[in-house]
Amino acid sequence: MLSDAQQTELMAELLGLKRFCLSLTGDAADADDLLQLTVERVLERGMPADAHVAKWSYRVCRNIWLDELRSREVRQRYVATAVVSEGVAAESADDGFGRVELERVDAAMQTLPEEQRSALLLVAVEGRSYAEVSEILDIPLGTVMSRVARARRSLAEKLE
Amino acid sequence: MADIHKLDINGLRTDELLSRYIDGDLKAGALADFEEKLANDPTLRLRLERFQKHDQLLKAASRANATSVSPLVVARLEQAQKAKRPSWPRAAAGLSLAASIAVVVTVGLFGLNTDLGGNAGFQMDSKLAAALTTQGSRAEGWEAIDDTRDFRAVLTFPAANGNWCREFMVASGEEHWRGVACRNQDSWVTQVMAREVFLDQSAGYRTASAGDIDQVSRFIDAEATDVALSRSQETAVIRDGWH
Repeated sequence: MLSDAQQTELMAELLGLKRFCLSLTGDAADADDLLQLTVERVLERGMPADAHVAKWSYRVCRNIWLDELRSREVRQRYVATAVVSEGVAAESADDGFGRVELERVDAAMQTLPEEQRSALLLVAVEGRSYAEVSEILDIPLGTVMSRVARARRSLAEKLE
Repeated sequence: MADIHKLDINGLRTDELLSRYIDGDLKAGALADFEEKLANDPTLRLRLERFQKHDQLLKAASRANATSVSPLVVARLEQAQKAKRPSWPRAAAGLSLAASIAVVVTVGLFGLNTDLGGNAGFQMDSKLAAALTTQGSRAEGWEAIDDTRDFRAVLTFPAANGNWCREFMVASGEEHWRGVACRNQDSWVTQVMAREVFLDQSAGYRTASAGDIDQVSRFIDAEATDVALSRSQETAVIRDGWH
């Protein structure tokens, strides 16, 4: 069972986890399924009292993705132009980017291998350190650096 | 303008350094060296700006892609936050074939409330107190405490003032009551009682005040300072006379 503090922290991580699910699945519906499974697994099994809630939850999410969803042969959707999103605003006043730009980067991300996509999302969007990403994705630190760099390099090529 | 994509064979290595620089992973000497390189290489500075802009685009797009979480997930977490229960199944699962709604008839806060409408089912008396003192919590089943009433302790939790409190149920004929009583020196004091009204498909819907629903659970949420005792912990507290 999670403690009150852990449950509160988990609630605060839900949007970040959803973005991570999207990076893994490439599909909004699959991402929702994965998030739901993740929350159920964390609630069912709990976590150590001293566990870092975010890292633990991201790891559970990824493990579920690897173990269960891949076994259902969910294909990665490498769509060059289609964008899977809940709707990008026509004008993003807060960020200063237009819909076309946001859709382009979305489409470019969908063409990246999942391992690069998830590493870049965790670092560039969720603000995780390389060490945290190494724990979450269970890969060496050097591999994190390489995947993030390759993802940025590929994005740069596709967005020119 | 220089073609920033025609980098040398160490292009990926340079991109990795750029990436680490953006992410704050370069330290001390490596950081100083790279900053000097940036200062002297406009192509490198341009590539840095591109990477940083793409990061901002990615953040904006990601936020737009995930503006909300499924209400089912949020509800599941909220349900888990409310249900600070022992590991054995909730007592309510054994009670109703349909849903039940609790109707609060009185609410007291750490003081004996005697204005309970004269219903013997929920008045604190010596037999109810004895049951609270000696019976362990259970998920199902009842223990008769006299000819008209059956009792079930549901869970035990610590309150903010250091006293033990117990959620319990009393059944008297067709009347079912759920409440919380807390130790006050050597006695049990009722804190909140609610009569459960069942939505029975055969008997039809019975109305209840929406604002009173789940007052017992809300009381527990507000007053409990920790999760409910486990079975072994509770056994030890009962054995020690609730001290």
